[in-house]
Amino acid sequence: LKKLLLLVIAGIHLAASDIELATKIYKTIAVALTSRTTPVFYIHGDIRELRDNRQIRRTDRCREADIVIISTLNGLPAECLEKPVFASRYRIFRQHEEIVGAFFWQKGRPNIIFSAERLQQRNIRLGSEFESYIE
Amino acid sequence: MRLLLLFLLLLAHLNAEEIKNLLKAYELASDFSNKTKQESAGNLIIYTRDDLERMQANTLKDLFKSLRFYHYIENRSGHPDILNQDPVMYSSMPVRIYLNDTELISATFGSGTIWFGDMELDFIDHAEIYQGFPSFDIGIEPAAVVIRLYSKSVEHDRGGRIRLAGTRKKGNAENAYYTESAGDFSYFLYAGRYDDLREQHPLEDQELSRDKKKQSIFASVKTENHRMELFGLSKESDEFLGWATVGAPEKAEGETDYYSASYHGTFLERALALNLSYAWASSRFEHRYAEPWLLFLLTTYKSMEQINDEATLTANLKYHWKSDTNSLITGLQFRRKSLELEKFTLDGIDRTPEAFFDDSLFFDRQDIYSLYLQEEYTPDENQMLTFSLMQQHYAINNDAYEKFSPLQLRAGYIYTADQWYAKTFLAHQEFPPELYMMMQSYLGNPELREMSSDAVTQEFAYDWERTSARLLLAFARNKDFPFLVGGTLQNSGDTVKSNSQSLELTFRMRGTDKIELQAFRVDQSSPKTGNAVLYHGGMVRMLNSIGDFDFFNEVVLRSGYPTDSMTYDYSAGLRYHATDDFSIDVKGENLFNKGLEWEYYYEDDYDMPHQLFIPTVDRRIWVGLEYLF
Repeated sequence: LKKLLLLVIAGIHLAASDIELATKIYKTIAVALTSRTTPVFYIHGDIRELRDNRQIRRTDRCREADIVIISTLNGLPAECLEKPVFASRYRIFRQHEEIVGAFFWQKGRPNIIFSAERLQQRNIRLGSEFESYIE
Repeated sequence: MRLLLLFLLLLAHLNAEEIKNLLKAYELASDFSNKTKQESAGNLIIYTRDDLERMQANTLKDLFKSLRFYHYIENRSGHPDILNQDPVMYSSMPVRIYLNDTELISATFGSGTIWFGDMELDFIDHAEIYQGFPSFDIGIEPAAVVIRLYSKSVEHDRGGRIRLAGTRKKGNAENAYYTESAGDFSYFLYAGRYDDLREQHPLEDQELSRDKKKQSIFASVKTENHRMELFGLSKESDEFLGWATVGAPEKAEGETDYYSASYHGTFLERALALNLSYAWASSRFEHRYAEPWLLFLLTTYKSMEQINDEATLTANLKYHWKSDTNSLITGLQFRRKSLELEKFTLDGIDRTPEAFFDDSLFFDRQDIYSLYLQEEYTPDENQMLTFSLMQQHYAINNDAYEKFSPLQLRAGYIYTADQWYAKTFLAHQEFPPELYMMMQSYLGNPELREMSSDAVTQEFAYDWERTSARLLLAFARNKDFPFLVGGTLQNSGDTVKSNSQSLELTFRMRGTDKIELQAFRVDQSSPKTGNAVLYHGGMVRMLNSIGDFDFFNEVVLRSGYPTDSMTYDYSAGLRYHATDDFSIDVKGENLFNKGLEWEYYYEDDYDMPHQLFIPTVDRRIWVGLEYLF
């Protein structure tokens, strides 16, 4: 049904593409933040693009994770703050000083932002490709 | 689109702008039109978020004016009337406009195009236009064109935007929206005003004006499976020539207030969908002339004033079964249209039905019951068969008047290969007369029959790496076509046929830059004379970006609309993204003032007929500012 799904069942194929692309962006960010080739994710909150996503390695325990991705601060285990924490919402990034960056939609387009100060506190150095996303 | 995404993805692996390209590819892949469009639903034209923004499409008029087979036209009262056929009668009943899942409707005129055909698009994320009779999950009233507008939402627009725009002496527009979420709950709020001040045209000793002043609001609150929306429009308008054909009016003014509330919910893992909507509208107009005109009953009048209140309640429940090879939708819809003629005077004399004890002047209620079924069968990965059937029952004033039981049928076959597809649709539709067409107060005829329409469309599309081509062939045969004869609507005894062909090419260039070409031809017989009328049209549109600048160029060509001379509307726009949050734009519409002029008819003091040719789109240059926060 693959070909027909592209045409018929509205956007399923391209919806898959947007999730694949979002996953690739999250993975690129995670690799840059952790310096690991296949970082282990801990997901906190509901992030549609990463929901049931088998393209990433994930764990249910923060201490086993290389990076923590959050959509909410509510109920976030304290031990998670020992890892690089990255948000899917801009407001959360602004609210909590432990969060090093965010990947979010605003103004009709996807955005990435990192805090230079928070990266420095964790001794994280990003590659030059992220230079224009650091504030 | 898929090839473009692959190209952008490929770029992402190759150059130093990896992240930027990846984000752009993600933005394009996430465009909501990818999730809402239904290629199997009909012959589809999509305006993505990116298209609308780079075209600076501020109103629906900007989309209609280049629509294949059609053009943006206003009737003699200055209301949008895309299918305008007759100097007096409103003709756009088969053009249906939906905002998300709610139809913007007029109980009196059937289609809401009369009020919303030039609505602002500032809160719209993307638009889909289905030509031909689309499937029933797009809209269930019989239709020739369905416009689906999808509002912006928190998923892509968290935060707010303010936009200010103006032209020199010819209008200004201001609007703002804000959207945010908390947990599963999100809201979207929009408010806008638009002073659409048009070029005035001298006639006799008067200036004909089509100015409109509009305020509109839209609010939406939603969770994952439930959404409530409010929409409102308040409009004051100068009504150009007015309804009568006796020259320039001394006064022609109108007002419309429209409010709708709707609920959309999904249940049982989204298999069951419920739509409820209630729309209320009040419209008033007053047209006054120096010369008397013959209206009906062999009596002449100089002025007409009307206040009409109306409401439309719609409840739609549908269930969707899915398996590997089948997709079956069954649905029920009930729609009640209620009218109240608050005031109707001719030369100040009360002509409401109560005053004349003549109910055929005005009906106050129509109930429409619809039961529909739609099956999509996919026997293998390349093919799909679709079949739709709907039985309806239209009752006016509890069946006290003519009742209709139209049957709507649609069948389609789609073949898809790697680089091309072919779509064939056959449709039989029956269009019961709208309420205004049967009421004598609107020159209507209570004895009017329903129009039946049989249509076949064939679409071929082919995608190369950077180019795509689409050919559309359409044939329609309409029986009992309604048209005005001697001041009353009648069914045409002739079969009205139309034969249409369209060829479209899209060339994708660097990044998201593209050039679109369109050429079409319509051969249609006139309902009045049976003679063939030939229309031609075309369009060249270029969208490109260089650095922080977005460029838009468009030429819309028309011939045979309504004269044989070729018209061309050249529009161009430039947007400068000064920062991520602030942009400045300039847009020129119909810059050479050579765009389509529509023909209007009037009689002078000696009853001699004359024609007026008036541009459908004014020459204007807009300057706008947008600030995002």
